[in-house]
Amino acid sequence: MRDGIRRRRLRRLVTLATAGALAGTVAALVPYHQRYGHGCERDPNDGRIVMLSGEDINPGRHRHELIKEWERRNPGGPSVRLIEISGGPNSEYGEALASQQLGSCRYDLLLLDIVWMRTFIEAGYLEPFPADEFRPDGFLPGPWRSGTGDDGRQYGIPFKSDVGLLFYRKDLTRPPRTWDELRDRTIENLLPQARARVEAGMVTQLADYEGLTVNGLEAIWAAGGSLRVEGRRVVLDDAAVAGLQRLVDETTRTVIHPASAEYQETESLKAFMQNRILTMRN
Amino acid sequence: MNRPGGGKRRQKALRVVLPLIGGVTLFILEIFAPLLIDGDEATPLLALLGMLVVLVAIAELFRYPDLVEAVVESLRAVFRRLWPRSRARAAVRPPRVRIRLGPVLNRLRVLLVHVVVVAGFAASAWLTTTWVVTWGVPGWDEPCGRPVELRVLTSAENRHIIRRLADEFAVSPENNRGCRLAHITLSTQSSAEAVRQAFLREWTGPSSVGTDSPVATLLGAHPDVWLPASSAEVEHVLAQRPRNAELEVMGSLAYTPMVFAAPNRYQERIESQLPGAGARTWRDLIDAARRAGLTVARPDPAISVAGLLATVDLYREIPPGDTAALRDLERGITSVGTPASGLRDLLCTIRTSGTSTTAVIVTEQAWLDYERGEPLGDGCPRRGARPEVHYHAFHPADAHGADHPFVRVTWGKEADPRRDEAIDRWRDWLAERLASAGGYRTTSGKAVGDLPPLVEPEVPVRPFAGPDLARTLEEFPSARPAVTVAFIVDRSGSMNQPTAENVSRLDRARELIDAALRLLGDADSAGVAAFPAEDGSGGPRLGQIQPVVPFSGANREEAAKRLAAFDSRGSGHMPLYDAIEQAALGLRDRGVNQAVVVFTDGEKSTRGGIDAAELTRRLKAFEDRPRVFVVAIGERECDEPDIKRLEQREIMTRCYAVSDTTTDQLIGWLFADLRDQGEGE
Repeated sequence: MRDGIRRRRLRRLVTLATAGALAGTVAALVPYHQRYGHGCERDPNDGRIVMLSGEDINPGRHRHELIKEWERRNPGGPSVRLIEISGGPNSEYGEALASQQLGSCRYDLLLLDIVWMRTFIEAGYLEPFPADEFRPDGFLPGPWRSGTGDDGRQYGIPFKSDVGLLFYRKDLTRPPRTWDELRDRTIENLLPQARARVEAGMVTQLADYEGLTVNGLEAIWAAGGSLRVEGRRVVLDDAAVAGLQRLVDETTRTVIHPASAEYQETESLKAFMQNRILTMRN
Repeated sequence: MNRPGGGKRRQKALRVVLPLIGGVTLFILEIFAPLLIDGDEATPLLALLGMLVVLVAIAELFRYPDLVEAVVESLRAVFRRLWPRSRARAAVRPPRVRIRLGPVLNRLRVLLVHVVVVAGFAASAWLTTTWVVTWGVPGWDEPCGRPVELRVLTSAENRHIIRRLADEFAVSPENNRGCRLAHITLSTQSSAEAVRQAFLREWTGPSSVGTDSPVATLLGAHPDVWLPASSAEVEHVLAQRPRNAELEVMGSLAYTPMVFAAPNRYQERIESQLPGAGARTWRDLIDAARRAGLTVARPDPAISVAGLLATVDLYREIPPGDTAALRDLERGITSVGTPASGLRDLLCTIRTSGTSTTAVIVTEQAWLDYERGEPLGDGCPRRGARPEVHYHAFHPADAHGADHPFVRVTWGKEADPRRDEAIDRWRDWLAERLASAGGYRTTSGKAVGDLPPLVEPEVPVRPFAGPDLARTLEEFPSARPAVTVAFIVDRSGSMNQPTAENVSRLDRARELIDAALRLLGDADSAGVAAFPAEDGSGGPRLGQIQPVVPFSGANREEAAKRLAAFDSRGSGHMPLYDAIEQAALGLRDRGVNQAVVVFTDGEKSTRGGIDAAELTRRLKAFEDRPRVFVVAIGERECDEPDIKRLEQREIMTRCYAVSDTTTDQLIGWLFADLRDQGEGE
């Protein structure tokens, strides 16, 4: 008798507890779903491929031409919409990263710089390409490897490869072969009595973005130095430190145009075209 | 020796008192919890636990009616002692019927137990679910995932201070509780109108609309946080529904009023020109300053939010639609020699010139930056800590101010609890520091931080309103006449010769055009062309660098980019007069107030073509003949025969010699002349 009452009480309590837990879960999930309901609701009739990239500042706009060519060769296939983002690599990176973190369905393809590949693959922001869709022997090995995940699958395919070049003003100088040569030639042209007065020997990209990383690495390598990453620490050898120091010193001495500290690619190109600067690294 | 009855009672008492003590302790802990740990997450949990424990204690109490009665009795005794009169009244009251408390209390107890069970499980489930969906995302168990990427948009005028605070936030404890929470990428936009348009077009630029082009340009990254100068900008955006974006204003961060700043040595002269006692309005101060011999400048509303807000204040007293009054006002504050420019450019011009007869309408914060020798933009040199000319800031009675709201932007369903938390922390961080770090005031208008004594301790807070901003944006183009300009640049061989500054004439022309393009507003149209064209075949024509198009957003950037990339390898046949005619033809139906601006040395490098008489005849055939301005870069400048003939034939309105002046001044004069045409219309 007593057992019956106790069991009934227990059953009632369990029912109440379940009801409570259920109500609590629903109460937490409903607003969550309303605000953070991820998942791509794609329009099945929308056959476009949406591609995010930085601005194509090359005169030929070859990306646009490539898209047109691809659409011409694939009549009836999906069309391509290229979204170009202004504001330089930082904006581009911020947009691509934030979109993937938020589970956005905005972009189908990202044109990422090689330095970001590792971040995106490791964080799980990219889908792998179907195996055997692309063959590695058609690509430069370094860029190809940058798109390979630790699981051996291919998350990125090299789109284009580029190198930094040193441009020089034919009317002002011969091409310098070494740092010292560039410095000597600049200093003699900076003097008040110089025949061809110049503002600086070189303009480059030292703003706080990936361009500074590239310039810094080039300065390290030019000095015969090396850099390695140990866990979360970056270790420089003495030559590397000297290389970086030279970059700083030459900027204060106007061998490198001091405004380079604020410049990305476009600004440095503009400065090179508008001012009397012997060379441009770009 | 223990009595059995006493032991039971003590046991009973313990079953009630212990939970009570526990509950009260948890409540006290909850009060102090935020000081000890991350309060946001733990406080509700502790509060809930405390409440449940107290409820258990009360439920236990109800099991023992005699205990309840004892408690009630003792309370009654206390009550009687406190209010003796009620004791007297009780004496005459008839004896009350005693109700048996036992069964009632038992029912109450059962009810309470049920409530405790339901509430307890509901709350636990709620907390667990919230925790799981917030932190149970993929990768949550890794030591530190990537920080949340926050895309922050601010006006160019606040870039410096927001950049600094973002850098400090990055390494602050608020952003590093175990793992780094957020990484901030900052972008800037100068034009309030460009931002509004972008919100209406899902952040794409104007060139992407109405074309079947497969390419769309984004105006930078989609912002997660927008830090406009004024909530009027937000209201203006929300007046039309932003496409696929939700804007949430999360309060104001700091306040700075618009001020009328004049050189110190003019202060007394201005005061003496002001009307007697009473409140001084913008109009009073502008009139007084002009009578005192000052020119009045304001940042260009097209490229400066501060300039736009200043204009809102100035237009307020003029009845809507009274274009004549607006033009009269604009005439009074646009002065030759001080070309309109951004907020900091304007103050930089004053700082670098060393002497000044210009009064400026700026934010109090920008004036403070100037007075304290803070950086005024990347291109502005710092000349010591103190400026050579000190400025006094007047506070007009009808001045409003920038209230710096913090706006969370959510695009479609692209939200995430971690992002929201990062945004909350960034907001709190900014709200605590912006006022004291940047020379702003608190949201209630109080001056804070280390400020010079001349700063008013408190000003009334009067934020700008969206409709006023909309009205100004609508009326400004008609108050300041729009222009439609074709810039054409000579790239014949002689333009490769060096100028006095030892740059080529072509490079000098490029620099001047670049400065000119920066002064064009959204209402203007412009194009850039070079002559002769690169390819000489197919008859005489201009090498179009950019055709004449409305000059806003992407077109502006496009023109600047193309200008930087074009070179002097011109060939083919295109003498000066043919080029002017071609440029005039290119202006047809492109807009109002048309003008051709030629950058040339005027030296004849190609023979043939039409002569000045023929050009006059052909231009006369135009229904709305464009004016012609020449910027002369050659050795003889405006005295070059081909340029002289343009003047004699009354084709040319004015010729500017580049060696006479600086770039800013020359372009300032040019624009004063370009816009002058509209005044007489």
